[in-house]
Amino acid sequence: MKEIVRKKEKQPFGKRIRLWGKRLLKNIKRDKALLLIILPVVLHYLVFVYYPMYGNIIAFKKYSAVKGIMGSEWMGLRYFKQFFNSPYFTRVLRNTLLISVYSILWGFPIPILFALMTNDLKHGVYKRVVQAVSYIPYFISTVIICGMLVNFLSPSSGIVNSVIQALGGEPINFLMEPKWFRTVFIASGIWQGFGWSAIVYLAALTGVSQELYEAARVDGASKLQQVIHVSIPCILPTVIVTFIMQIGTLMSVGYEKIILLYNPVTLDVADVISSYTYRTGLVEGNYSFGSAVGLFNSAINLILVIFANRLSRKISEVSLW
Amino acid sequence: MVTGKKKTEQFRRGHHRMSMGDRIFTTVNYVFCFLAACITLYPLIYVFSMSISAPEAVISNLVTLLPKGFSLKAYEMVFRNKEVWRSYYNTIWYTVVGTAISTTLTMMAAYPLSRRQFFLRRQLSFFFTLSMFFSGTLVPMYLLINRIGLYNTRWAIVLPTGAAAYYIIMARTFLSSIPDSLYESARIDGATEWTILRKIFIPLSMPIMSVLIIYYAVHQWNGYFNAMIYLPGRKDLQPLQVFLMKILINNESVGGEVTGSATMSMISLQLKYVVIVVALVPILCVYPFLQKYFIKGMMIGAVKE
Repeated sequence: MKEIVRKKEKQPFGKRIRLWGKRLLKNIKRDKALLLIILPVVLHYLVFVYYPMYGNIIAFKKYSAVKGIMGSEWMGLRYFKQFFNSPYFTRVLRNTLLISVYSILWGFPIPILFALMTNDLKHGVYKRVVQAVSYIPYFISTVIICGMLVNFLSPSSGIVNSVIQALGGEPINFLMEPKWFRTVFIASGIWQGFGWSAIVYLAALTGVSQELYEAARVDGASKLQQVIHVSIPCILPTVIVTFIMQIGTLMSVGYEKIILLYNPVTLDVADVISSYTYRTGLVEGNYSFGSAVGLFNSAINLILVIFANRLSRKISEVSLW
Repeated sequence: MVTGKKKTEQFRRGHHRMSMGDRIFTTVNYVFCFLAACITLYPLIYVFSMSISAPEAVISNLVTLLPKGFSLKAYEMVFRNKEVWRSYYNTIWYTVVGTAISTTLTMMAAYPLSRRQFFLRRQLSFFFTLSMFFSGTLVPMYLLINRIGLYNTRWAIVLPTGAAAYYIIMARTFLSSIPDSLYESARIDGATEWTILRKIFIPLSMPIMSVLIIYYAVHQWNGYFNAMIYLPGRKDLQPLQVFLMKILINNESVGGEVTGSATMSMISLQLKYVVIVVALVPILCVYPFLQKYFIKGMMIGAVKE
């Protein structure tokens, strides 16, 4: 008895490998066609996703184009320390957080309000037109949005300043004054996204059973009371999940719009982590330092997304994965 | 029973008498929605009006909503500019080729992942989705494009986009919902995977494919950043968005030949509005489709497996 048991414990390794290999071969043979179909995508991912992922290690090295990623000298955490100790660290951290928080503060309730209001519109055509119009800005490119901002807000020829002057005010050079940057950035973001963001809530609202409204009506609830006691509770789970997911993106203000709108004068309030990565890494060519900043940012983003997902699963049993 | 139904129907249509509060509520709703639509549309109408007004009206800020006077001189100048046409052509090239590559790759990944018997299904799903959470940052990506010789070539724009993990999952979910019986009967008839994909699954996946095509196409059409960092030395390859950036943000002049002349300084402001219109029109023309398929995509994406 003991012998057999020992044998069984000793033998498996070679045998298991062989068995495993056999099964693998059989699987490969059976799924050959599927493997061939997916192979190009896997290769594409290896080159364009996994190789750059590996390339992140230049954040810990002193990158030299001649030596390549592999051959470059190890630097440890030097670039991270350099970043944490620089005055830019607090600046970009503060700006990123402030822009995110204010975006959520102003931008989060508006789509909900808009969805609740359009949901109540009775004329089918009017409702559809309002909704269709509200999505348009979402499809306009960042460059055009920023181009319109630059032209509309121009102190000499912009429509906004014409209106201000017509009302007797002094023209404001919006894009050249630090105190206006966040307002311009966030307001234009809301203009572009409120209709689109409302879709999720509208979808949730169409799912609300009509019987609930009828019951409320029978009980003598006014329309406002129906919104407060039926609509809002029904979309609350969607609202919570959307809110939590926004927490996951708290530190990922993109550079695309920022770098088109900022300038040396507004840099102090406009520079966020991602734009700082772009400027140090690509514009100034400090590849390793830029990578360190970028890596720091994606690490934080990862933690935030995981945290948000956990929270969402706990509170509402809805999660991304 | 019948009367009860009728009553509900009346309730739904709002034929019942509304109380004062309800009437105020509804009115406020209508007004606010109208305002929201106005705020959304106003900038677009204004840009269009500026682009076709008389240059004198534009320069002296007379346009507020509707065009003042009429002149297509600025349009003429923009259309005479070769760079406009060239960047337009480039954008179309990137959109067509990029979308074709991305959509093909996405379907090629989604199909095997949707087959239940595929032995690497779980591992490869993980392989793709990992990129949603962690990937190469800006600088390593830039170095890669340099390293493999894509820098300053068209491929630097269309290749890196590839198949986004999120869309792979979306397409996989869709393909999984196609009944297995179709797949199995085709297998029994001796069809190969490739034939099944081409002859059965692709025709049945037109809804998801159109969503993918629209998503990728809008992404390519609107993107400027990659072109800006990967094609700095090739003016002839730059897409419309980079051209727009130069005109609108960096304040470069459009005309070229007549720069500095009196007409030019007169019209230069209007040219910017024309350029915006020229770039916006294609998007607005296909907007009804865009809207439909984007929303469809959102709904498919929202369905979790």
